[in-house]
Amino acid sequence: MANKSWRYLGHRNKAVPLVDEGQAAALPLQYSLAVNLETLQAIFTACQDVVFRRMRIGGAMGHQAALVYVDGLVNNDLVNDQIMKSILLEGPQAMSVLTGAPYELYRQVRDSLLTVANVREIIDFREAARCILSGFALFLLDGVNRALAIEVCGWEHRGVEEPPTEALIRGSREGFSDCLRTNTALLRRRLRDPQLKLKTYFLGRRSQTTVGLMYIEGIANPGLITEVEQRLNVIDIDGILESAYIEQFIEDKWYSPFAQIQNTERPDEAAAALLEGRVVILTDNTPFALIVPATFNSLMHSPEDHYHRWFIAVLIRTLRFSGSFLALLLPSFYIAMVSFTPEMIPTSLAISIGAGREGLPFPTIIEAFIMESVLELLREAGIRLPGPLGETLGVVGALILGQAAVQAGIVSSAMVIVVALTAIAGFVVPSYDAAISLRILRFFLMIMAAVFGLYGVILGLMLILTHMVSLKSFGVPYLKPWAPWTAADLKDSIYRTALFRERLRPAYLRPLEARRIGRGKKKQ
Amino acid sequence: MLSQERIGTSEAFFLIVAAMIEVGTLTGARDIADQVGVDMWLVSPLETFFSLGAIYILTRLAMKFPQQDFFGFSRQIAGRWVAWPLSLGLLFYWLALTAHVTRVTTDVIKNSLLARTPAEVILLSLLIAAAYLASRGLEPLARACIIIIIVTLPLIMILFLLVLPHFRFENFLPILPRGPWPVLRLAFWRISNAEEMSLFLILVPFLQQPREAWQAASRGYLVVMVIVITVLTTCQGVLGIELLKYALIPGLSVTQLAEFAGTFIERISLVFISLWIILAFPTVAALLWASAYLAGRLVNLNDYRLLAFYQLPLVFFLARHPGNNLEVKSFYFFLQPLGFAYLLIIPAILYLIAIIRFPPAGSS
Amino acid sequence: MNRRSLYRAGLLLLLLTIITAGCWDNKDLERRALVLGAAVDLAAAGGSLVVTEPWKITLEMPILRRMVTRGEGGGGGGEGQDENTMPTWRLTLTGTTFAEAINKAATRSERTLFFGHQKILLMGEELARRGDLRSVLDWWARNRESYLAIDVLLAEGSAGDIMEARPKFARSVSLFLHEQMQQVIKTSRFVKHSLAEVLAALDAGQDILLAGVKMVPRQELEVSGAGVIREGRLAGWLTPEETQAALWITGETKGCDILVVPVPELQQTLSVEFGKLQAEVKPLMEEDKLSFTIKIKVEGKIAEKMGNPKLFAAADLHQVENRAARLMEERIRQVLGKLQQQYQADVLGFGRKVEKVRPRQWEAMKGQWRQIYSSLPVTVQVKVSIRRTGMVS
Repeated sequence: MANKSWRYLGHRNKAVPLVDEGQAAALPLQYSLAVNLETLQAIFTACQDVVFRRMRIGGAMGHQAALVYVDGLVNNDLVNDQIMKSILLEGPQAMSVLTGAPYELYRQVRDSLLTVANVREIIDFREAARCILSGFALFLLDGVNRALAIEVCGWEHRGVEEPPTEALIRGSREGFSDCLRTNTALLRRRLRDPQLKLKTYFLGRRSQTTVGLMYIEGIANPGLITEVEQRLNVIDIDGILESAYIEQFIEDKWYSPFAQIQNTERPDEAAAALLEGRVVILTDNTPFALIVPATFNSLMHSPEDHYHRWFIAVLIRTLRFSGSFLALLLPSFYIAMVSFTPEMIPTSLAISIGAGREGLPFPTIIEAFIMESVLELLREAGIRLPGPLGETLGVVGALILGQAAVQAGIVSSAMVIVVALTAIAGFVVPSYDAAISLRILRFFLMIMAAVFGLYGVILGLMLILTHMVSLKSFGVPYLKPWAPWTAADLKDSIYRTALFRERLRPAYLRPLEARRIGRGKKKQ
Repeated sequence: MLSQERIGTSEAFFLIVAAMIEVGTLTGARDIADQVGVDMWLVSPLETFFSLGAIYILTRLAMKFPQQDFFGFSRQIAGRWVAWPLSLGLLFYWLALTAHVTRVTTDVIKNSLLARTPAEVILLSLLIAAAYLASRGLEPLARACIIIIIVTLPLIMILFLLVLPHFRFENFLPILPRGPWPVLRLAFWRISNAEEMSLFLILVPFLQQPREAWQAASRGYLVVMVIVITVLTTCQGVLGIELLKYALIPGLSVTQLAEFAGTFIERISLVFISLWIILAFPTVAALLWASAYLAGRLVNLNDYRLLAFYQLPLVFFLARHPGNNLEVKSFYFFLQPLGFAYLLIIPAILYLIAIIRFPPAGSS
Repeated sequence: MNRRSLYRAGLLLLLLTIITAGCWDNKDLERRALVLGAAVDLAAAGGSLVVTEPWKITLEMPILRRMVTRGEGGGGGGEGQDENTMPTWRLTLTGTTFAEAINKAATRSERTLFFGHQKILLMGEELARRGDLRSVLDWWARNRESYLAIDVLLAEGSAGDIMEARPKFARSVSLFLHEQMQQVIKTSRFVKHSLAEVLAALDAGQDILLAGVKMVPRQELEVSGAGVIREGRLAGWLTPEETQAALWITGETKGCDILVVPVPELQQTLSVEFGKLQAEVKPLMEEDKLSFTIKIKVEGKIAEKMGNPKLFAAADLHQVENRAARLMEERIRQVLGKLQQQYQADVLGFGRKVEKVRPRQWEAMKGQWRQIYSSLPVTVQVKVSIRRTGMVS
């Protein structure tokens, strides 16, 4: 257990003071509006975007009330039309029939005046502050120790666009957006099932980010859900700015180069994961949803595999897996062969490579490191540069730099080919996370190859394999379904059977309902 | 938490296959050829029958005590004073076996891939990598075995197909020129060559279904023997018995003749030897794991896994000791009798005593 | 926790030392001299074995840059232009043993010799006659880099001279010979035996045939005929035609041989192209008297017809078959005579056959096998079946 505790050690030791809302803000709301407003004003000192709108309902002698909201988070039209108008214009009429007790008025406002659907009752300041900061308008009435949080959110956010990191030929063009609500809606639209559950958490002491945990009850294993919930509850950090923050807190092994949690921008991929019995974690303010548990196999899959016919899908997957092996191994194999065992290279090729290398200043290993680093440099620079410029940089870098380096006799053309091939092969991996771990391990293997040649590559692969087999993602061995061997799940691995034959959900997820294709309708 | 380690029957199967196949199989052809000449190809099929018998007794014994490992049941059967020396002997046997396998593998690596690299470095890197795998525990070890087997075995079999054009049946003639006895005797002695089968002495309590131990053991052994027989027969059929006696690593020499050369990879034999080196890792790791576990049991240690590392100095010393490749065989002379004892004699005796002392209750 | 990090630090340190001190075998391709072929000879002109450095070896190595210029006019060097200079370097060394001779290359070549790409091993006639092949080949059998599948050839005359030839397509003599040996599927006028086969035969005390190479005018090479290796030494040569006949017996022929059959009955001369050939060599034991029967079944087709333009009838084909069979039998008897009486070399593996089929008797006659062999009665039966007559009847 010692192992586990020190994952969080760093955060425990750092004495980040809890937000001083701690005790003060947990206070219940008072009857006096003046006191309530004072407290709220104290909470929102120097928050000039918080609007305190005082009013009197029923003329000059009417009841004192106030509306508190954050400018910019709320839709002003809604505030004006649906709240102010109803309260100020229709409030007095309603009041005339009432006894005049503030609570009666409060109830009237809540039940019959407000023309907004989502209205919550608030009794303490902590909740009040959170609602105000989440884009609610808080309605307070003198003489009532409650407040109404009226949902009038209306901030600017990005709409539903095509996911840029996971483009497909065939499949939905919608990607998750930055707004959690939109994202849950996108999933709901795909799975119109009341069993699709959404649990909301507010994570981050200061950011209070809304995090949604989605799963299908009756499919997802309850053990898995509890495990995810437990891990989410342990998170104690000031702010969650992206789902990666959550990922790094709940993953099993922080020091692993492999991603143990899958992320996606595609609602269809998330929906597919839900249907398999996985759990999806949506985070506000980011289009990237987390899918747990993830296996190496699932990281290598693209939703498109199931949109193609099985034969094509098998071909594509074979290509993808071999491509990823190429991306991992090609440079190290090149080093091993050229520097250690040239007898493996066909004679005519060996002569060509040798001729190309004659007179070069660097040994193969240094050359390989230079070129691979340049490649990584180009890639990183290409991401930073704005769109079209980035592409230009790729072309300029790859073509011109490579050509110039060869002509200047700094690197051999064979090396340029190897590096280019590696880069291309790396792009077939659908998951950016999986691709990046392959990139890291490529350098590791290159070092091993430089020391021990082919044996070094083997040694390196063994070490990687050892790490991978001891890795688990939420209790699921990382190399499922190959290791441990489950023959039934192999039909969705490198190989994929026809869709109607994938009758069962992956067994390693222990779904409550194993069958996904009904018994009744058999395809002939 | 470690007592919860469990592996399925198929994992045990893959584990035993991966543990059994090692570089020794490639060099094994030479040892047999030295002793029986042209009848080499007959030895392994016969050996399979004898060994299966021994494995049957061994797994029967282990399955009689599904919750116990070797130390546990030998103590139960014959008392503490027998259990301790037997377990210590088994521990030593496994460590010496590890040393032998690593030594042979190192020699093969030096002979095929890395001529100038110091043997110590190769030996140590191999041992550390294997101990790392062993120290992860049984479950990851079994998983690694699966991956290794499903990647390497098909490729190895394909490579052997490539040399089939060189296969000559006359290399198998004459049949039994010296009568069947030398062959039978050697085949019987070669029960001791199923060394890694002794893992089943402690593997049963780790099985999810201890009743399927025999199934996993026999199937695993048969698959291994299919490979071994293929290798040996191909060696003899392609090289002929004279070259077989003369070559240091006959299995490697065979693949040098693959018709594939020059089209894609000039030296298909090096690919082959690399695959075989990969197969040495699970063997060493499994033996290190087993000895670590047994040592942990003897000293009552719950988390035995790091012991895999502590054993390395001894293994390293044993592996480094023989001065040259010809000395290796004479130095490890004790492996054969020890193997024979732990695979056949001791299990048989223990089983007999167990039956007498704990007769099977009723119908079960 | 602390101990754990100590372990990790220690492991890291170990890795770092390995990496920094390592790379023992790391030698880049261009820092190695790829030996494509080796020719071995006796150093002294008279072929004396008693001189201090009796062995001579000529290694052919590509000069990489010049080897790959693809019609660009030799890159910038300008020397690659000449048709008659090969883009290879032929280094000749002498030594008391081959290992020593090859080691001396370190004083002549700044690049380490690398035998991983050796394609052929060529032995000079003089060396093959006087030296023991088993000793000659031992270095190649023992060396890690060399390959069991390399072809072993015999040179008529000095092997080093063969390396000076100028093949027209190939850019190196060794590559030429290597490719040339693949032509064994088109003809059995020479024999292709790899190092593995030669070593196996020598270890088993058998005799073997090796392909012969000779220089023909304009510095070109011809691979034809075979040298008869008897007890590890060259006993003599077989002509290309005799080699063909010998390979029919061993069944090593891969087909495509052309047999020219004059058929006087039809006033025609026909060329029969071989297809499948099955040879069966059987030792027979009758009252302690050993004899052999050789049965050969061959399928063929008519490749060419000269003479009488008349069309074939089925009966004519039988005549052709008979003629061809007689012709083959005659040629087989001729080569058997030469091998049995003149060379007394059992390159056809008769002894091995006896050993395999009749191990007991073999034990008895092993000692005097050469005498028995030289007077061994052999019956030859050839059956030719012509399956097709080509595109015309």
